Amino acid sequence: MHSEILPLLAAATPDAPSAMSSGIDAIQQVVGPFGVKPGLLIAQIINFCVVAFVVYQFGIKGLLATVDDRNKQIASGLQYAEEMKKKLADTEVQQAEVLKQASLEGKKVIAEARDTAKALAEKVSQDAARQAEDTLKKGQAAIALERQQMLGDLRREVATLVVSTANRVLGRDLTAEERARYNASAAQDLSKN
Amino acid sequence: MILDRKQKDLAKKLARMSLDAGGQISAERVQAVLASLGGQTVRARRALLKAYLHYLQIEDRRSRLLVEHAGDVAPAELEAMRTRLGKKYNRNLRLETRANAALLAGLRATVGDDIYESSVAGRLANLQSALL
Repeated sequence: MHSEILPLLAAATPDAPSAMSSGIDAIQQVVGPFGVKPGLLIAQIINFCVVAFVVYQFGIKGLLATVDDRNKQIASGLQYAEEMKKKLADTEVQQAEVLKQASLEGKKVIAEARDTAKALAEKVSQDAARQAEDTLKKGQAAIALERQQMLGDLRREVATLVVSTANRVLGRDLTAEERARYNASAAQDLSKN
Repeated sequence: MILDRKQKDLAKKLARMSLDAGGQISAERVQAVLASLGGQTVRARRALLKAYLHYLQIEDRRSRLLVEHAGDVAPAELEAMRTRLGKKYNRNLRLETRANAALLAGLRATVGDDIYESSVAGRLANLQSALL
């Protein structure tokens, strides 16, 4: 076969006959030991190309497209995951901040409530003390007033008793002579005044 | 009938005119006053007479010395009292005495609306007022 091809090759390149013949000799020296038949080789090459073309066109291209799509999906998925991760981190940070604020707020409210309770307790205590003092003062004033009234009543009673007793004693025990003497003295007093 | 001021003054004057020189109510003078009121109407006369009587009673009280006493009083003392008080009121006072055991001892003399007290009961009442 190679003996048929080589002259063909020499005919195809009419302008370089000497270079061609040396080249053909070299090629014959290389391919001879391996048993390569040029016709078959070319046919195989053509077959290979056709198969490669068909495989590429109907197989590899689609496969590559699918692989591309998958890669894109994976990339977008990864990106989405990254974004979500970032968002989650941000959310966690925000949540922590909110919790911190809420904790501070809660502590503040508790402190205020404690202060208010303390102030209220003090106020109630002071009011109670003041009320007790007022009640005590009123009680003392009432006692003093009652005492005065009692003393007044007692004085009145004693005076009435004394006068009544004197009345009775004098009415009973004065003699006519004593009366007459008193009357004379009284007449003189009235005459002078 | 309600008297006006003029008629009241008239009744007062008539009452004063009914007193004698000693300040005592004189019967003749009263009759003269009554006679002088004949010219008025019955209604007007009645009102005037009522007022006249009222003022006469006042004058009577003013000319009376009422002495209330508990126990015996010497007439001389009473007379002395009457003379002194008569000088004070510038009229002859008519003496009236009345026993009043409630006085316990002493006298109470009344001339018009004035009361002079010198009795044990009075002093006890003063004591009671002072203590109360």
